[in-house]
Amino acid sequence: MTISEHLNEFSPCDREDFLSLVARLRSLPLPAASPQLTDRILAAVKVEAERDVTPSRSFLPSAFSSYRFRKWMSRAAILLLLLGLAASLLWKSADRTPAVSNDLDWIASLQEQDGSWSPVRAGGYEAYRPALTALAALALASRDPSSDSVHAACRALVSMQQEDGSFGQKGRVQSYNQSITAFALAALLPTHDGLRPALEKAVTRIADEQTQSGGWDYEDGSQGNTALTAWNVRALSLAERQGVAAARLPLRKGLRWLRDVMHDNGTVVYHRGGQISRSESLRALTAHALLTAGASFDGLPLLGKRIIRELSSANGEGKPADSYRDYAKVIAFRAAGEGREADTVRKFWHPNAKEDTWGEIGGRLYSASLFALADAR
Amino acid sequence: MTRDADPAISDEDLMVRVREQNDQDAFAVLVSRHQQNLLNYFVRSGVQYDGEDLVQQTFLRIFRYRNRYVVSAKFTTFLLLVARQVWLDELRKRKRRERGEVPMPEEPIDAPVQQDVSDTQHVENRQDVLRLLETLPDGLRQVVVLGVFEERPYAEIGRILGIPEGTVKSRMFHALGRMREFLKNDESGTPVKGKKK
Repeated sequence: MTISEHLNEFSPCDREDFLSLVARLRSLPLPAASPQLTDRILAAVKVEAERDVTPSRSFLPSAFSSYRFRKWMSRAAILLLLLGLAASLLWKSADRTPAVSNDLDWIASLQEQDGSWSPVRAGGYEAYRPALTALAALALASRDPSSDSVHAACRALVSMQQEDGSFGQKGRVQSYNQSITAFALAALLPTHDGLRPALEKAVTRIADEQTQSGGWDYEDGSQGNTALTAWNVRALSLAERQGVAAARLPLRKGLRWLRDVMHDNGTVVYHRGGQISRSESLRALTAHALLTAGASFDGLPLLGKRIIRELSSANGEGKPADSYRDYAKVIAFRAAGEGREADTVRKFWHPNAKEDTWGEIGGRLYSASLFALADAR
Repeated sequence: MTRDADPAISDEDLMVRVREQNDQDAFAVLVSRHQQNLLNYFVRSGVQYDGEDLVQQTFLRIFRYRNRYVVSAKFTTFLLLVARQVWLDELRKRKRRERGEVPMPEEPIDAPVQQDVSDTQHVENRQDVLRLLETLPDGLRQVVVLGVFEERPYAEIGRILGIPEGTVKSRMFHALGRMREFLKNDESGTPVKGKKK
């Protein structure tokens, strides 16, 4: 049966009503796919094919897939796992790990000629090119801030900025591109003085977007969401330290907004007056902002520490890999002086997990950059 | 093989090539043939800004799970099954975002819908239809999207949504009735439950 046949079953009166309704529905104007869509999809598929994550059906000969063999293999795997755990617990070194070094080489190898990074080539969304370029540049700068790659990345960031100081095309994602890129510009400024005009424009743009109550959000009518506000506070704080005077007032308003979204018991909410969030990344990010950006304000670091007390160093056993959560927790624990907790999170973090929560948005570039940043001292 | 491959080569044959030989050229043809329809599906389902990224995700999953494609199944049914799952995941992410668990917004920067709409009448018409569809919960809306817009047979809709054909029929009846009621109340100015301003 189809809709046409179905409509024939109704009374004449109903049929007439519904036919006119169907015609009205079908008049919905639709967007045309952008000309680059096919290429974007195929580039992402190419990355997928190179990863070759599809499980092969006949990987093992039948003799090896027997119950006894699998049982033996699972015991061996448990034993290896235990040995691995013991080894990692014994490993006390806080030096940069070979994994991070490999990740940085990989990030550098992916840089485009114009100095930016293509998210699609790493399995992410094109929409996040400014933010992912910013994160990749920061990751590489953690190894050598004056390398050619970082210089090229700085030039790319400046060229991506628009007249009004914003980054990326219009839309909701612009907010994150803006705050993460502004954060990177401020962090890279000491070694790349030419970034100052771009940073000042970015800060002005952030200040213009601030709501009356001091928060930021991409939802119309909202007075702010905690995640975006924490990122902007981080960016403004760093910018103020680099001498950008325009960051001063919005930073104070932003910190006040963050103070008001947390409860006495160390929990936070996403929107003012909303329900308590169980998100560890949100709590960690808020704590970090209060501890660092709010360091010179009475009471704010104490509030940050209160959040940290309720934060676990276990990184969500049984939950999907989440590089953003682990990054936020590592930097928050470090800011609170809880180095051991930070190291615990970092040691059990798998930056290249194929099923990372943000894999489809930022691709491996996102998780590898955050991993390197969390590793930097 | 070019993206405008011989139309005589069926989607199913192309998908078999993708499954058996990892043939990316064949996949390019499938993408080229179906990306617009898929984008339409997401827009009608309620996606405002990030339709193209959901299209990308859907094709990525199709490629990732190419071994699960059964030759006897129509490719478009397989495509819509995966698209449906991508959409459900998106709805779940939106709920998580509301609870504050999502660090990056799900709706990226491309806003082709707004870019393509130029005249006022066009916009009003679009807003009217979207407002009408918004009166429906996702279960009813999917039946309308697949039945009214895509003109899929009810049996196929049932397979995509995992419900019996009879349920598709009753959901369609309820959906149409609900939208008619909304329109009547809207015209008379009576507030309706679920109406979005």
